[in-house]
Amino acid sequence: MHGRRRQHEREPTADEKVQAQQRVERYCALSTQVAELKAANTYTVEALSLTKQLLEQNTELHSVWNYRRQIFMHLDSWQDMDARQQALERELAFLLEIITKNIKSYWMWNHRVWALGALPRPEWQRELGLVAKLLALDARNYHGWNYRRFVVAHLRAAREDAGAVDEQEFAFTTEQITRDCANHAAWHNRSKLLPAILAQRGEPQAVLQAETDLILNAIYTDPDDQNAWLYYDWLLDIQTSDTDRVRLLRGK
Amino acid sequence: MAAELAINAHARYFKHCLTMLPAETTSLDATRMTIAQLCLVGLATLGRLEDTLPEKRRAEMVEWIYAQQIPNGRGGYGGFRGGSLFGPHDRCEYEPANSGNLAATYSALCSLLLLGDDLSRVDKQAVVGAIRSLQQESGTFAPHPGTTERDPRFIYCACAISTILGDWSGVDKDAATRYIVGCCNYDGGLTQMAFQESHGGHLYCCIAGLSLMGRLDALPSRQRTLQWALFRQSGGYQGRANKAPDVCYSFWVGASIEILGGHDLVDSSTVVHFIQQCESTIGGLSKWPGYLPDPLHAALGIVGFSFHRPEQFPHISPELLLPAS
Repeated sequence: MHGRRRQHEREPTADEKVQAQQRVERYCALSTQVAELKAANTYTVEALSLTKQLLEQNTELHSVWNYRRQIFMHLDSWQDMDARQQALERELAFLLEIITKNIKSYWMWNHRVWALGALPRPEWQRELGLVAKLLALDARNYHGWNYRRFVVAHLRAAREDAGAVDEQEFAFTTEQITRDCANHAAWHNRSKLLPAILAQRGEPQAVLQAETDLILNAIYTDPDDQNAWLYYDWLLDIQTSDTDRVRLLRGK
Repeated sequence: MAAELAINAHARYFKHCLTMLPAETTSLDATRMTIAQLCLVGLATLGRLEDTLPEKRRAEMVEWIYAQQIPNGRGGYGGFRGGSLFGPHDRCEYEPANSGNLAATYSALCSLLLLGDDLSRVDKQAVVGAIRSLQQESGTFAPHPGTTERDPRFIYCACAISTILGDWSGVDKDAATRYIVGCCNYDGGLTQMAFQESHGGHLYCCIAGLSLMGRLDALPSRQRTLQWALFRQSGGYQGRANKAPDVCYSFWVGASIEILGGHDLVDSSTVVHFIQQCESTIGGLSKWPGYLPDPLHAALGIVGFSFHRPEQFPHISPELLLPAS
């Protein structure tokens, strides 16, 4: 229910009606079959394949995603780390194929989080690249930004130079804001990163000056856009002294 | 005065949705209970429930709903299922396929009430027990066992169910309140979890949840939250800053404003006008003007509309999506 534009549709042909009917019958047969396998606690490679076919047709069957996870964890190959690595990498590829069907699906994002948690050797840098591509499709995607923060948190933990990860993220928000200063999600994420940036760089004044410049640019571009004003309000508020606030207001 | 909403067309639309939905809506198969609730509350708001659904039909619907109730003794799996897609529950041994979930339980209870049922067949102990076992340490709720999903949507469902059943023993209100307060953002808005952008849908779940718990005072700044909600008006209401207005926020944000006491601060005529632009010629309302309608946007647009026409439509409680009585 995420908005489909009304189009001028013609009446389907007799062939199209038959095909549609067959699709419905196949879907119903498949979901009945999967339900029966679940009821019998079946954890086989065949069951895994059937759940994949069903989920391709309907990504919102949350209990089938649950069942799919159960199957993975019950297969003998799960205990073999190399086999698990391969299986879950294929799973991540599968998810990427179908995420574009419904980029707002809670269950697909959750399943991805599960898969990364279960992977013996997750590649967080690659995940970062992927979520950047998804955000390029939908720059305000709520799940996407949340997922990005999840990936970044793991990257920070995995690397020695957590500060470099923060800088990279900060630069990502700059790029998003420069591309579209109306992107509230980017400004919001920036506000989550700025305190660490201020602490890490030697010259907080220079950072604040750069923020003021960014804000002023955004205000000149569109004075009615709330983003920059809200961010400025917040920036002033986090200064611990009145002197600092005044300095920021004066842009010095 | 000419009717401002195409009541007949919308009543027909809801009746049609209760009978059949197109293949494109297959993804809603697991959430039929909520679709039913939305159609019923849409009809109730239009004052057309009883003449659209004769008594026999209403009775059949009540039976279908009760058939989704999970029988007693299933621990955290109590409550209602979202639909019958995995067959009758007494023939399905696999518990996770057959568990209740908080959203379906909430929708089931509201639907039963709208259909005139007295809830006497609801296994209240099992439902409250399920709620208790689904609350997390952090205060939020999972919708059912065996999932990593947790968020304010299910806090709201737990609070609404507890209110309807008159039994709060399943909810640790302090913990739930703490979690919600942790979702308050600098701009006054509320989120799904800490660090997220402020979002109109989660605003509603948090505010309505707090209100039902009697804990609205826990908000760091009620004034700022009301302000955030009011700033979402841009013709209709948007769900987040700088997004296009979407008719469902006429409820999520509109009802939050009602709860926070800001009704008089809203530009009523522009909200009403936007909702009317979202009416579809085939009945129902769409998310944006000129798109295809769906039950969610139809019902929430109509309830949102009713807040601005109290003399024409029955009063719907902003906290419960039920007629206030």
